[in-house]
Amino acid sequence: MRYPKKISRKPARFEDIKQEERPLKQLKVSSSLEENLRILKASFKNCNDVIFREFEIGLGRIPAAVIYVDGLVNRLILDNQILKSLMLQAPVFDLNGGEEHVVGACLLSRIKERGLTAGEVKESEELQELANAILSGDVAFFVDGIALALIIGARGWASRNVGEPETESLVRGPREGFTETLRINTALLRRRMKSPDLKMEALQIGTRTKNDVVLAYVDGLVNQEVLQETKRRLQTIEIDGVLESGYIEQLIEDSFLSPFPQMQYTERPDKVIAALLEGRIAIILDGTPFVLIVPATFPQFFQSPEDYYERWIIGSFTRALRIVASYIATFMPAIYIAAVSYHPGLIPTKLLLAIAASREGVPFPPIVEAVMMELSFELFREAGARLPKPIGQTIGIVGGIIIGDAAVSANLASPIMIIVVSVTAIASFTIPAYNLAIGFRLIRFPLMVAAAVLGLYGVMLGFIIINIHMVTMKTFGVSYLSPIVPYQTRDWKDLILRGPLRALLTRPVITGPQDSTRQANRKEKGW
Amino acid sequence: MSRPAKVTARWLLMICMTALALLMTTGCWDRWELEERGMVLGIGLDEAEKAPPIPGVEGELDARGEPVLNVTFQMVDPGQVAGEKKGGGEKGSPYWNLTVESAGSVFEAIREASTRANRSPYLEHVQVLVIGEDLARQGLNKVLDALFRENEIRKRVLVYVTPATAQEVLAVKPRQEGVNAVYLASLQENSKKTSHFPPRVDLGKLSRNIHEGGSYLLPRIIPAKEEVKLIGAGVFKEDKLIGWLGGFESQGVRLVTGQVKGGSVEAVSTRSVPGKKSLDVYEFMELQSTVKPQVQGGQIAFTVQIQTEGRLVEHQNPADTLDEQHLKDMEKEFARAIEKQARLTIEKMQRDFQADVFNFGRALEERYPQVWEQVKNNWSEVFAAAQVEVKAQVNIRRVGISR
Repeated sequence: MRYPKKISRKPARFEDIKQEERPLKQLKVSSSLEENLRILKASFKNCNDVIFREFEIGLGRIPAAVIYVDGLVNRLILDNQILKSLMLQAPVFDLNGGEEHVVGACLLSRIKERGLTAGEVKESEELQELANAILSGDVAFFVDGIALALIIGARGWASRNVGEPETESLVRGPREGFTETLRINTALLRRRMKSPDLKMEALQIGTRTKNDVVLAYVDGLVNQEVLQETKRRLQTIEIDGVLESGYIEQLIEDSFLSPFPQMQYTERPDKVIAALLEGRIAIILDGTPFVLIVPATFPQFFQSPEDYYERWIIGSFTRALRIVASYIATFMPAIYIAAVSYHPGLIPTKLLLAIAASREGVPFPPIVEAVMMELSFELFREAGARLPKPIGQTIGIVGGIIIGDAAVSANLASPIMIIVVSVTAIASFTIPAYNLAIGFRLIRFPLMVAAAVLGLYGVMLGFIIINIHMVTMKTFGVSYLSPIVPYQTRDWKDLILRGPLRALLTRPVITGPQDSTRQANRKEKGW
Repeated sequence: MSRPAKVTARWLLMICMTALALLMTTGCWDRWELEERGMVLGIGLDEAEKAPPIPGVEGELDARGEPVLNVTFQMVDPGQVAGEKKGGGEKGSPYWNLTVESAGSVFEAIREASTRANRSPYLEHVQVLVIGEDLARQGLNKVLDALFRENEIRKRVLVYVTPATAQEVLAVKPRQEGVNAVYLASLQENSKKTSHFPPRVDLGKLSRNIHEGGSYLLPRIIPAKEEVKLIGAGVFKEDKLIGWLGGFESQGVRLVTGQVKGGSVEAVSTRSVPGKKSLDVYEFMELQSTVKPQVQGGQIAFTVQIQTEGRLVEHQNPADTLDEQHLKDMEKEFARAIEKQARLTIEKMQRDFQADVFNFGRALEERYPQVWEQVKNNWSEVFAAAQVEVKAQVNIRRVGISR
């Protein structure tokens, strides 16, 4: 058995490191093209998707090179706007300027101003920056004899088209959803808000993956404190990579032990715009269609864009229905267990007779029966979610109908329990936010245990504990339960019921927007 | 902003441990699963000799003395309540009656039932309490005391009294309703249609009545083979049954006390051809009554004012019901019929029972407290001697289709 040699962790002195092995961070662009290419080739060793294309500019036969990543660059732009114009149309932009030979930075700016017919061009002398640009899909352009390089924007890669959002379907409303490409997403937002006040601040997160993140907000509406806090938290993230906006959510949320989500995610641009107009902030991550909205308060998760697209009576009804459903989804099994095991006196006689009749022959106490059925329901749900779509459909039928019916026939569960479980499940699906619905479904189990141990007293204790938790929770300095706690009468117009649009004159107070007026008070119109 | 993860984890661990410890220490002390509770829907109380226990278990009382009281529990058999019995077979009765002998204590009997029923009696859903005549004549207080105190019984239990035995009443297999006790209890809800039995008396009200020591009525229930009849009332003084009222007088009591929700009164039609009697029937829609006591020189008198609105539901002669004069005549006719019914009832109560079930004493106390103080100790005699005048005013609101 040979022990591996101990690896020395002592850092070598900077002078001892060979030039090409030095980290790119400290290197500037050299005036020699060859030198630059050598360093970058060493840096991009074994990356076969990085292309080095050396060529000569125009008639002056000045050596130059472009470096880009194959697949991230739009070939048309690269060929026509960069190579073609530099190689064939060089005489047009008169490199020699007629009299004296143009050299150095002057030459480069001449190229930039007269030679390149690309939209996005910027100068850089940091090799690290250039490497990043190359990896992001830009083209780096080096000219011999000039200690400066150009970054030419020619990004273009295959991406999913804008399609209907899969997770949030509406009856009425736009059918566009975000895609995995950041630029398309920001464009979708910009399309819906033609105002320079819609700011998009960029930053990169992920020490190794360097994912682009855009912070979108509306200047003049956003609460500066919340904005600063959000930025501060984003900057504290030091992780090798963020693969989905869920990473960001979990790294910057306030209470990671809570079952309740403190950020909203959505695939719908219209939802994001609505949030921005309320003075909230959107965090858009490259590589995922799910945009985060902060700060998210509890009542927000019950809102669906449709509440606002449909007339207010319909919106109010559906929203109130969802709030009732959330209580059902959380407490119904627990209350059933408590009532049957401890307080049959609370149930009307005829109903109790029906329950007793249906429980006749079931060998388990209600808690065992309930946990069993709830768990099997969660199994069906999970199985349906994991399976490919065409097969997933059958799980619902097999699980719900056949197993449920068989369980009743086999006396493993009472029909009433099946009803309770089904109603609970359906109620939890009415909540528009999947993450909150999951939270409710998780709370259900401890509540059921509490009901089995202490009866309704236990359910009440659970309810109180949940309430205490929610009241004390803050998200980005905003109370989670606002406008319920702290109480804001003005915002109740759009809480349980959705008031008529002409009555919603102000933005929610909770985010503390700078400008709280939404629409002018309507003068009497002629109709 | 956020505590270090170590501290949070420690907190979490502590909370989990505490919760675990708490869970371990609870005994689920009130837990009593539904399938272990013998749901009792009806209780019957009888004198022991009148109602031998069915099914009997010999020597039940051992050395606890002579049986004086039989308590019948009507227990539900949940397996038979549902529409179909699982696994086929004959559908049995959804309930069964268990009669327990007792040496006088109802509470003992309740506990004694657990020696024979594997699901011990659970009393929160009791619907009716039926009391047999013999027991009622001996006095209710000492028998019902246990039920008044029992925390498991609701105060909304309906109380009936029967001239037969409670056991017989509870043994009736109703044709209409699965469970006998549910059937018995739902009869009381028909007050909207008929006034031939007194307003509902539940355990709470009975307790108040007994402890106030006045007179009151309990609905009378008469068993047959497949049905019962709820008609008339038992008249109680203090806690003893002293006699019976029929349906007619029960309505009379309701008229005087103004507790009519429905029911009708009939009168011989004003347009009847002599020798050919035809009837007019009037149904109450609303009725109010006020009792005015008058004291003049030691003489106590009462005036009962009855005001009612209702509709003409039957008019057997061909006269025009829309005739103004005819309507007025009919109203007078009905008023006379109402007055007569009330007067007869009052006279019967004064003459036969000397029991003030109309709460005249209450009216007197409100109006002339000093007089009440003087007469309250022999109120029965004073009531029996009091002059009572009844005046009724009828307003016919509808006559139905006239042609």
